[in-house]
This record gives sequence, C-alpha cells and structure tokens, in this order.
Amino acid sequence: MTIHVNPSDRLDGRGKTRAASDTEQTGAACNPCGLDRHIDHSAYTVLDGTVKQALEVGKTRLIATGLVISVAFFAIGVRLVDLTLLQGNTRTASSQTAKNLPGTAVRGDIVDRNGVILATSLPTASLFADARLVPDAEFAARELQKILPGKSRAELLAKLKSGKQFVWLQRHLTPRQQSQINSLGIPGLNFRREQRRFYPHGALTAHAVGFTSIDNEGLAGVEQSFDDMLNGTDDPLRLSLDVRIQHIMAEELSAAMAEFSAIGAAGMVYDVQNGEVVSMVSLPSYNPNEAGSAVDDARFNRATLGVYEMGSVFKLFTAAMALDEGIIRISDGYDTSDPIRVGRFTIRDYKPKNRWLSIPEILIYSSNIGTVHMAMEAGTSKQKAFLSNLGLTRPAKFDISEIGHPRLPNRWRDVNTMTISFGHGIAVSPLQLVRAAGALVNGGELKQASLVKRSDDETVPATRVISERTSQQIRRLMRLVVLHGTGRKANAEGFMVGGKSGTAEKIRDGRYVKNARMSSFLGAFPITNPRYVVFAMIDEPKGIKRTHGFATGGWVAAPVIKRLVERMGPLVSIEPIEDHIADDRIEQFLVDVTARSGGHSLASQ
Amino acid sequence: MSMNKLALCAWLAACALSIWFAFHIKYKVQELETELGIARAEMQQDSEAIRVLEAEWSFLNQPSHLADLSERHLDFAPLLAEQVVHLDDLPVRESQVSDSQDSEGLEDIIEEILRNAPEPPKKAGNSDSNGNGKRTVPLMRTGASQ
Repeated sequence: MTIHVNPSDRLDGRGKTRAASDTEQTGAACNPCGLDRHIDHSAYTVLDGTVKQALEVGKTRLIATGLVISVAFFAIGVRLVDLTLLQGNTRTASSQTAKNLPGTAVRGDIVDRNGVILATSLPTASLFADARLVPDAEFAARELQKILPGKSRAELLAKLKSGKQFVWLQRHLTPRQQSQINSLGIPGLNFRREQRRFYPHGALTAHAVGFTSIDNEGLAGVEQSFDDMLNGTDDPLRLSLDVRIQHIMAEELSAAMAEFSAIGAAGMVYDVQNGEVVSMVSLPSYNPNEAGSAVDDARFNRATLGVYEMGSVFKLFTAAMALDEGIIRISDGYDTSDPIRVGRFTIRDYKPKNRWLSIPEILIYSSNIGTVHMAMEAGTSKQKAFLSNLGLTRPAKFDISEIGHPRLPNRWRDVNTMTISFGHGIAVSPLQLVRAAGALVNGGELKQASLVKRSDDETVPATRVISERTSQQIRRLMRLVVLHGTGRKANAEGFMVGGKSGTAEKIRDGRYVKNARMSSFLGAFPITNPRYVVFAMIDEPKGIKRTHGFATGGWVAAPVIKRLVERMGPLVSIEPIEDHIADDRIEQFLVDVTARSGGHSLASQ
Repeated sequence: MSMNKLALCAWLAACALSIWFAFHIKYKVQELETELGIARAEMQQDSEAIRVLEAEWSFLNQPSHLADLSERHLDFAPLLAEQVVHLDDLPVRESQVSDSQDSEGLEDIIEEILRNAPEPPKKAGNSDSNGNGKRTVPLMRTGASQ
C-alpha cells in the first residue's frame, strides 16, 4: 500500500513531523489541523518495509471483515424478502375466520340430523376471590349474599376468610349478577370467563345427548362417549336423531302414560336401512340443564340401559328362526288345543282357540302354545345360535355408554327354550330389540346401530342373519297381525304398518306379578319395503274403562304406534298409499293357509 | 462540490429517508395491530353473541313450543294420509281438456293447482333431506278434518 503525503504537511509551521505512523492510515489523519488540503498527485512518497506490511495486513482484515458482514446482511436481506413477500401470503386474513380465532376454543355443539342445536356452549363469567386481598370479609359476604341467593352467608364468609389465593365463590353468573358484583367494587373479587353447556331442548333429548359436569367433562350420553372429540373441535357433532320425531314419540308416549297411569315408557324409531336411531325416548326424563337435581329413575335410560322381558314380540324371532331353518313352511300349522306342561309350569294361551292354528294364525292370535311347538322343533341350540346371531345375547354396540347387559338363563334348558320362544326368561334392551327386528324386515341383514348421522355413501357394517325370502314372509306375517290380530289398533291408514304386540308380566322378588306389566308394540312401516322399525313400551299400565280393563300391548302401545306413524310419515317423506293389491295378496295368503286344514304335525313330544 | 460530498449528501438523504420509512412502517404496523386486536375482539364478541342467539333460536324452536303456537294461532292440523294425493289421481276439468292440446295444457293445470294449494304447515327444523318416493302435491284441508 502507498500513502500519499503532502510534502507541505511534512514541514508545516508547527514543526510537527508528519511521520507515517500506524494512526495515519485513515484519510482524516492526513489533515489534522483542518488546513486546506492540497493533494498533489504528482508528489508522493512510497512507503515500504514494515509499515507497508502492516498496512497490507490491515487491508486484508478489512476486506475479510467486510465480506463477512456483507454476507450476513445479504442473508438477512434474503430472509426479510422471504418473510415479507414470499411467506407473508400464507398468513392472509382469509384463513382467520371467527371460528379459529385464538382464545375462542369451545366444546363443539351437538346437533340433530337437520342441524337443530341440541347442546351448545355459552360464555359465562364465574366469580372467584383472592381471599388475601379482600379487606372486609364480613361486608363482602353480606353484600354478595344479597346478589347470590343460592349461597349462604356463612359459606361465603368462610371462603372469604380462608386466606387462599384462589377460591370459587359462584360459577356461571348471570350477566345481571356479574354487573351487580362488579359495581360493589370490592377488591379481591375477580371474574373468570368460562363456557357453560346449554341444552335448548332440555328433557326431550336428555338421554341421548347426556350432560356434562360444571367443568365441561361429559358425564352421560353422547357428551360422555364423544368427550374427546367434542373438546378437540369446533365442528358440530351431528346425531341421527330428529327432534321432530323425538317430540312426537315423547308426546304420544307421555299421553299413553298419563292415560294408563303408567310409571314409565320407552320408544325408539330405527332406520332399518342404515342402522340410524332416529328417535330414542325414555320417560320419565330430566332436564339436563339441571342434571344434578334429577332423580335416578329419570336419569335411567330405559331405551338402551334397561333390559326387559319383551313378551310376545319375541314370537316374531321364533317364527323367523323356524322359517329360516326350514323347520316349518308358512303354510304349516300346529294343534294348540292342549296346554303344554313342563315340570311345574303349564304354558297356556292368553285367549285359547283350542284348535289347529296355521303359522300366520299363531302370530295373529299370539298363541304361546303354537310358538313353543315351533321353538321345540327347532331345538335349544338352534334357538340359542339364532338369538345370538341377532345380537340379543350380548350387549349392543352403540354410541353411548349406557348399555344394558341382556339377562339370559343360567342354563339354557328345554323349559327356557319354551319360555324364550314367547319372550319370557330372556330380558333384552329396546335397542337390541329394534336392531334385531330391523334385520328381520330389511331383507335379513343385521346392521350396526348408530346414534351419529351416517353419511349417504357410508357402508354400514352388516351381517346376514336370515334369507331374503324369510324376511319377506315375516313382513307378511307382521302385516297380518296388524290387519287381523292383536295389532289392529296400530293400523295407521296409508302407511302399511306391520308389527307385533307384546305383554309381559313383570318379575318382582323372583315371581311374576299379575298386574304389573310391560306392554309393548314392535312395528315396521311401510311393510312392503320397510324404512323404519318403531317400538313403544309402556311400563306398568293400568287397565281403564275405555279398554275394558285391558292393559295389554295391543290396547296400550299399538295406538301409540298408530299415531306416531301417522304423524311422522309425512315428515320423513313417506308417501301414504293404500296398497290394496299388496294387502289383498297378503290376505290371500292367510285364506290359502286356513283353507288347507291339517298341516304340520309335531315331531317331538 | 466534489463527487464525494455529493455522494455523502445522497447517503445521508437515503439514510434519513430509510429511517423515516422504517418508523413510518413501524407506526403503521402498530396501528394495524391495534385495529386487528379490536376487530378480533369484536369478532369474538359477535361470534359469542351468535352462539347465544343460535341457542335461543333452538330453544324457541322446541317442537312442543311450536305445536302450542300453531294450535293457538293457526288452523293447521297434522297432515293426514288421505290429504296427500298423487298427481295422476287428480281429475282434469273438462273445459281445460278441450282447451289444451297436449302436455302443455297439463302443465298449466299443475301450475294452477300448485298456485291454489295453501302452504303446508312448517314444523321445527328444516325439511327432511332424505326424501324418497315420488313427488306428491299436498292438498291441505284446514281445521276440523279429524
């Protein structure tokens, strides 16, 4: 490196020698006195030796440092462009909708199949105290007690004097309470924003939806079984329930309960094509908004948790088994004139006909004797296997955890086979019953029941339990029961209802009680191509004058089904038709059978 | 004015400009962030209000409540099976038969029927989506049809 030194500087007036030193490498050092600099390019001194070497080193270092710094700045610049221009686009306002704003994470809603809200979370304020900061606990307790009627003064005082840093005084205040407490201006009282679960439809869907604790943990129903899912998302959980049909079912059941002074009722509407439960009612019900104060009987879900002896509706299963196994043909018949004696039991008919009955007649007149003959001819093992295939011997898989275990005989002996054939000695839940009945009428496939709405293209897990042909025969038998038998009161004009009534005496202390019954009706419609299985069950109805003192399924539950079908049919777009051709064909079938006397003789016994 | 001084001035000006620009951006961003905060708070308030209103709407749409209102204020009764008639089953008025040539005339008749038919009663929720079966024309009869 060369340094240009002005010769005049070197011999300036002050006699200072401008020796080239290390400090003179900067330009400013060339003109220390601020004199007008005159650079004479023609005259300069070339430095060499150690000085030159030092300057060379300095220059190299300067370049190296500059290089490093410019690389660093370049990198920063690139990153800046990257963040502001390139990546900036991914965080535009369009993705920031009100739903996924931070701080608004709430437990997801539960809605019915049409999007009607069944459970939602509402923002509330909760009051807590930092007891160390409250100056006058006596005063605060007195004032708060006026605003919070549910709390005693002693309780508030104890909390305010506890000296704790955090103590809840009242959860979920009303807006009015909050503003009143706020205007008290007591130090140490604070609010915390919380979410509170609210059930707009209250008792109507209580057993399906369930309820949560004060800390929003699901404690029953779907709230419990889908707890994690509801907490993890803002998307609503869509149930298969339809509140309109739920309402119709609840209204008709409670009307029947009131009329027959019953103690409870249960009802279900089940879609036989995809296994969706469209309505599930258990009465008495409770208000899930105040679940804590509900009595146990109201909280008990009779539709899924309760298991009951279903009585004569089981005759459908016995007939289906015998027909499907090829043990009988539908044109066969049995002699029902003699009661069957097994040990100390005698099996009689409720209304004995004392003659040969065809298979359709056995169901129409609900003959126990005929049904027992069918079951005994099939045998115990076949019955056991058949009921097991229909899912009646183990708890149903379902979307809520309130699932009852069926009660089965300890040892499945012949006498059990006989009583089970007409629905005694086995107790199942209404859920299991409608699911199995769905398989009987939908062409023979047992579907997985669901309380959550299925998408239209979803394949439903299903297993074949009976043949298409048997299913059709059972549908005809069910229609005949409604046209001529104990189910006449369920005949909703235009909707082609088929079904079977059931009446079971309840067991108390190990023996059957005469006047405590379970009266039920299991139906399907439209029977030519069923879409829904409907079930109504009334717990301990008492006979009244209008029914001539009867409180059997045909008198109590069948009219419920009739009104339910009449009201829900138009809602679910089922076209009402009076299919006389189909009915005539089914009728024909009955005439044919009765005309053919004789029939099937009993092999065993 | 030498080149160096000019350059110096240019650099100083650039420096001042960039400082001004940096602060300008900074304040702008702060302002926008405040605005964003307000907007977010408003959105949250609104979405909470919407939740409350939706809950209230659902509460007011309780089927039992609607049934009660309908009973008190309307003449509607539940639809009976016999009130639903197939289009093919409708008799065609003679005069219209003679007037109309072919399908065009039938369309007019259908239109007239649909025009004259009163609205069916609305129940809770939306119409059921899983409709099946053929299209039917509900002909409502009001009141004491039961």
